[in-house]
Amino acid sequence: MLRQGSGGADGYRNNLLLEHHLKPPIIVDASTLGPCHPMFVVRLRLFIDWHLAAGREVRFVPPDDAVLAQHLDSMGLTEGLPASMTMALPSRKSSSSALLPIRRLVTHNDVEDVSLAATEALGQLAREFVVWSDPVYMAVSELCSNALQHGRDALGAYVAADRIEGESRLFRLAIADLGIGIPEHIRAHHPEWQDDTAAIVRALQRGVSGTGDPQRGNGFAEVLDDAMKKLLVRAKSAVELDIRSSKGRVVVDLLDGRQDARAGRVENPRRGTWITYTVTAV
Amino acid sequence: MALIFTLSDFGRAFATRERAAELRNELLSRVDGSREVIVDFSGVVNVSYSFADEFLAKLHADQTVRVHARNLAPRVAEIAERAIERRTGNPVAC
Repeated sequence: MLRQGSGGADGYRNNLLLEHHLKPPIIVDASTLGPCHPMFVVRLRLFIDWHLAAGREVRFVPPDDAVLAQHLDSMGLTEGLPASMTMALPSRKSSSSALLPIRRLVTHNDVEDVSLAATEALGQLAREFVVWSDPVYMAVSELCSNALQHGRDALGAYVAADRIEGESRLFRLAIADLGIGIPEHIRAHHPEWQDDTAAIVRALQRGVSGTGDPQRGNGFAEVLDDAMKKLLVRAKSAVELDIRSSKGRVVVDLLDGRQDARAGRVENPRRGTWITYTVTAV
Repeated sequence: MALIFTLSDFGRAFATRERAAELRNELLSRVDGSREVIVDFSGVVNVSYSFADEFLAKLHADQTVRVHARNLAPRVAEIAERAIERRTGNPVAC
């Protein structure tokens, strides 16, 4: 049972465990679920795919709330799954809209496709969203490339994005993979950085990469620099980049022309890398 | 005579290092004696920093051919110039 409110906030407060001891059939009961962050949708689909890939039967109970069911459907939660797991479409429309339905990234062509799709979707919206297009392209392309390159998991990587319009205007991007994680990847060439959070902080710096090429490892820095120039200065927006990997978590806030990085609390150490990138109009 | 390599033959936006490496190899396979290459960016709406580094900046850095870029959208030019300068240490106007 997914508790009411468990999909909201940052999308992590729920019990979607990737553990082999769970006995099938695994029933994902979303009947009482409330509004969902795209990271929750990514985690939910990854949970379903992971257990299906292990040969376990998974059953899905859709939300009672028609608006939420519509939203999850527009996010592509059950697309491609067995017919017994798909949802009936309600008629009402949600106030938060899928911008990039959930997509599994297996090849670099997938990254090319989703990067363009996300920015073209923004480009079709009101001008306030259009000005976010270029830095969002940079974020989607760099973060998805990293997830696919460094993830190295059979399931690949997952990405989804939505937007919220109303009192606040937000773009929310979520990317996840079950690979070795940023700290382990970085330690391939920097074994001295044993603390996971410290390793993630280092990965944000230019030229720090697990490849050994000193000209590589600029992806995170480019995403943040671009956001600072294009989103804060030109579009008067704020940006949050939240990175969780293994036992480490770092949250970077860009607001009022400043960049602050803080170590976040790690509730549950997790395999792989989980990233959210949020743009908020201020 | 310079070889003209038209990127829009391959897509409208380029995001990954893998794609960049493929296109760099494709370009080099077409050089055939010509030491000068013009990369035409017309129709290209966006590139990632990683793509610009792996494709354009590496071509500049290894100097197998002399590369000129033309018809870059302002956004694409900004990213390409940054990538080339970081890899080669020399500022280049695209």
